[in-house]
This record gives sequence, structure tokens and C-alpha cells, in this order.
Amino acid sequence: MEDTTRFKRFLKEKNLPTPWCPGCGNGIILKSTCDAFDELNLDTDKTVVVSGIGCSGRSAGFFNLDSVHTAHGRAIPMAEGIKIANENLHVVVLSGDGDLLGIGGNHLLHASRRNTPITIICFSNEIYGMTGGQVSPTSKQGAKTITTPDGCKDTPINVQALIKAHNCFYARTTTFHLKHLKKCIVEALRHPGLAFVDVICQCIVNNGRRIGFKDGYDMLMHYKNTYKINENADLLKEGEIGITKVGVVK
Amino acid sequence: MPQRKGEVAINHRYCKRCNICPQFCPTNNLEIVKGKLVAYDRCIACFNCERYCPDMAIEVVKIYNVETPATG
Ligand SMILES: Cc1ncc(C[n+]2csc(CCOP(=O)(O)OP(=O)(O)O)c2C)c(N)n1
Ligand code: SF4
Ligand code: SF4
Ligand code: SF4
Ligand SMILES: [Mg+2]
Repeated sequence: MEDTTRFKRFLKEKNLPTPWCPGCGNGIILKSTCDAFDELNLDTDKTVVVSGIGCSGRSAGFFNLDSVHTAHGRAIPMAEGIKIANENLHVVVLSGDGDLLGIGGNHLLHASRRNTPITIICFSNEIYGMTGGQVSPTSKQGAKTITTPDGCKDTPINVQALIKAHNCFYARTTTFHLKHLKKCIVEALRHPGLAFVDVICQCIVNNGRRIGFKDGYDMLMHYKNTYKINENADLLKEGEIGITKVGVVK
Repeated sequence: MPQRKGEVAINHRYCKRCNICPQFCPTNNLEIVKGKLVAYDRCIACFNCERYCPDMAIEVVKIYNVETPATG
């Protein structure tokens, strides 16, 4: 029987279970990240994980390697500092859409401009989950949240355009497309410059349930029906997931 | 015809009873009964539950074949 649990060597099992709500997608990303680490056989002494603040920001604490749980929005500069201090390390950021694109957005802008060789895994649940479900920079127009009861009026941040404008690696995937999710993380880790993996994931308690989803499974089925894989795209359209070609500025 | 069978182990300390795995199971082998996840004897070792569980609370621990009686 094939061992499907080798990824666990990257986890501090004594810290489990995670504090995340039943059905939250964060655990799927945590697992897939460890699975990708395992596929590349990363050296635990040469891999560092950094998280900011938010539900997703709790990720760093579950890895069986050196990790930093830093201030809100500051995961990227922390990761850049670690990389500058020791360029032989794999430095991986796992954090939320609010953390990386809201309060920390300016850091992403400049880290991508510098093409700092770090891997960023963004938990894009389109909400500030931890603080109770406020609108986030990735919330879609019309999204009902506790701070936008009449629907969000703003345009969601076009993170793909931002990353690609600086010739960095951009991939989008979801927590339903498990093989694809792992592949995106593996390819991001292999990329020699800055790599950003946008993972569409479910916050059932402070987002999904309020907009009519029954449970985590219901949200996963929505991703299954909404997102189609488009490999080899220059630029992903809405409703597409994939690994975009690096070096195509649009 | 040999038929593939499996067996799962549930870690009740990790399981949050989110009801994701019972809905992914193709043989209705999993169910939440009185607030606890239970497994019956219909597992075909498809690994859906193990792969989609966000909490690493369920694993396929055994795969084996059984001979089904020839029909007709
Ligand atoms: C400087 C500062 N401002 C505000 C907060 C409150 N706060 C905690 S988590 C969070 C949002 C997190 O959202 P996101 O990064 O999307 O994470 P999620 O909980 O959705 O995974 C905010 C605003 C804080 N902790 N620190
Ligand atoms: S509030 Fe949302 S993001 Fe946070 S743990 Fe619960 S389901 Fe997950
Ligand atoms: S391995 Fe497949 S058949 Fe067996 S319990 Fe899990 S989902 Fe059901
Ligand atoms: S998916 Fe995992 S946490 Fe959810 S009910 Fe199944 S075993 Fe429990
Ligand atoms: Mg969020």
C-alpha cells in the first residue's frame, strides 16, 4: 500500500488539531503545502515558513521546521529579510488575502518589483475571516459581508495583473482541485524568483454560510463547477485556474 | 471477479464532524451519527475522504480484494 501520509513529517502533530472551524479550507492548503514539500524532498533545516495575522496566519505554527508568526501584513518583508540573511533557504509565506493584499499590499508591490526569490501562498477566502467577516481586497463586487450589507461596491484587487506586471510567477487554484493545488505549489517552489500562488479557499463560518452555502462541501462543489483549468495561459480569465506563463507582461 | 475493498481509521481527536467526507464518499460508507463520525463496511479505498479531510482525521489503513461469487 502506497504511503499517502509522508507529508506529515513536515507537521508538528502535537499541535493538531488546528483551531480552524469545521469545514474550513485552510487545512487543505496546509496539507497540500506539506505534500509539495515532500514531493520536492525539501530539507527541513533549509526551509522556513512565515505567516502574518489572520486565521490563515496560524499556519506557520503547525510546521515541523523553523517558522515565524509575524505582525499583521508583514509576512513578506520578514520573508525577504530571512532570504537576504541566508539565500540558501527556501522561504515560504503562507497568509491571508487581507494580510497579503490589504494591510500588506505595499510589501507585495515592492517584493514583486524586486523579484525576491520567495514563495507566497495566499489563502484567498475573499473575507477577513478571523475578525468576523469584514470585506477584503479580494471580495467580489456585490459580495455581502458584515461591513458591506448592501453588497461590495469596489473592484477586487487584480493580483494577477500586479504580479505579472513585474514578471513574477502567478498561479491560481482552489481547494477542490487538489492535484492542481499541489502542482501549483511545487512549480512555485521550483521557480527561481518570486512566486505567488492564489488559492481560492472556503471560509464557511464567516463568509460562506452568510451567502447561502450549506457547508464546506457545498463551497468545494461550487469551486468544482465554477473553475476550469487552463494550463499554459498568458493570463487567466475569470473562472479559470492555472499556472500562467512567466514573462508575459500585459 | 475480485472486488477492491478498504478500511478507514478515524482519529476522533482531530475530527471536527464537518461532514465533508461523508458527502465525498461514493459508497455512503461514512455518516455522522449522534455527533460522531462512523464508518461502515462499504469502503472501496478510493481515498476521497483522506484527500479532502481538512483535518487529517481519516485515513485508509487497509486495501484488500474479496472474491465475489460468479453470477448467471
Ligand atoms: C495592525 C493590525 N490591524 C488589524 C488587526 C485585526 N486583524 C486581525 S486578522 C485581520 C484580517 C485577516 O484577514 P485575512 O488575512 O484575510 O485572514 P483570514 O482570517 O481570512 O484567513 C485583521 C484586520 C490586527 N491584528 N493588527
Ligand atoms: S472564520 Fe473562516 S477562515 Fe477562519 S477558521 Fe473559521 S472558516 Fe476558516
Ligand atoms: S476511501 Fe472512499 S470509499 Fe472508503 S470511506 Fe473513504 S471516501 Fe468512502
Ligand atoms: S472530513 Fe475530516 S473532519 Fe470532516 S467529518 Fe470527515 S474526518 Fe471529520
Ligand atoms: Mg481572508
